[in-house]
Amino acid sequence: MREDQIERYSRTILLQPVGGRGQEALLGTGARLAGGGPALLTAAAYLAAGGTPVAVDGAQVAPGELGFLSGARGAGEPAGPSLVDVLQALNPDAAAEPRDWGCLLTLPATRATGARPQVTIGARGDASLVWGADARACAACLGAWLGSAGPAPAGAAAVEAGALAALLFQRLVLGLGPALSAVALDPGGMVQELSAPRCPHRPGFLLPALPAALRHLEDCHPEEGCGVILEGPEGVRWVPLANAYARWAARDPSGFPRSPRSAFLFEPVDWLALLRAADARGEHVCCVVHSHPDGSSGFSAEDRAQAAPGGSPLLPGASHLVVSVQAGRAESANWVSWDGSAFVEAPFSLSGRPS
Amino acid sequence: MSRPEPSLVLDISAEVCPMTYVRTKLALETLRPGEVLEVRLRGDEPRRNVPASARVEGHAVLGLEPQADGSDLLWLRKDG
Repeated sequence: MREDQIERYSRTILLQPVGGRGQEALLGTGARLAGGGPALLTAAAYLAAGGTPVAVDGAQVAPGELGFLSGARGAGEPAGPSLVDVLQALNPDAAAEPRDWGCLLTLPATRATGARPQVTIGARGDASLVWGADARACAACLGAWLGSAGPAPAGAAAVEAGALAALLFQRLVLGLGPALSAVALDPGGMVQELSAPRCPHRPGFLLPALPAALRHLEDCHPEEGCGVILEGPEGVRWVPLANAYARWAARDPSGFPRSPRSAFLFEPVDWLALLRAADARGEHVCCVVHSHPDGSSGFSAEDRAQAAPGGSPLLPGASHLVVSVQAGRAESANWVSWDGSAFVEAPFSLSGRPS
Repeated sequence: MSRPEPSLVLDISAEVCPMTYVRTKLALETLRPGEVLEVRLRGDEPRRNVPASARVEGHAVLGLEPQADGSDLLWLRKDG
């Protein structure tokens, strides 16, 4: 840091979690703004004052919206350039070119960006919400968490939310706090830190249940095997379910035209019993597993329709594992998760399983 | 007291708080754990605050020795 920066940021440097290295990190990670409104502008002001470079190219700033940043100065001028000018006047470091760029956005601006850290300002009900995600955060979880959020607040709540957003951005740059978190601010001014729901999208968590699941699927060959992985206080466990498709096809051939070799169905009575038992144990369905005998492990159109009739998943928060079983052996698999608006599919390695 | 052998020497005798500990903290960040920083400081407030701040941050205060010119020499061992 230059001598003038050491003087300017001396109080921040003194903070134990920050120090000189932390301040250098704050100077080295910029924030691209997207959206608009007083919450975004407040956050931009705090970030700029703290040394974070701020880029305003994605921000829609209406004339007169700069408020406390410019006062009467700039009235009648285009708001975008004015924002650049006032931030640079506040702190020249705000105009520097950083090593990396994160983003700061207000809903309903683009919800998912690739930039990290990403801080999003929105609302749910009468509470302002600020979400923060760093590079470790699951994009699908962030998307799902933002999915039901409303636009960023206005008025005094916007200023509070903006200040919190700046703080959360700095925290992420400093590597403090969880990878994905949110802060809620209620109308009474109470601030509550929210923990992200357990991530169901990264498959590593289900590995302890996988051997039993694969054995079941192989035993069911040449029919589709199925079941679920439950997650609870004692970890994950596999629960096989009978494929009831043949029984339903026998009752209603036109309604169930396929066969258990190409389709699966949970018996509703079994499914209800499983859910009740899981609920009693404090467990929930975290993954639905089924096999494709002698077929690919792709999540088929029928699979998608069954998992999300009408376009919304029946089990939000649960992922799917599709296993290709060839000649009685599980050979490959695909992992499928819901990112808030669509199913996202990726190969899942079965290597390392005991033979 | 035998003086510790410093890895780095810092003179903050012309600084005023809070820059006294800011400079000290920045200097400590450049050291490896176990290395010693020698700090020349002057005045009651730095004499009190710099060792205290260093202790709060987990560093060891090895000694504080008045000098003939009215300054003090402080030795801090970086903890880690």
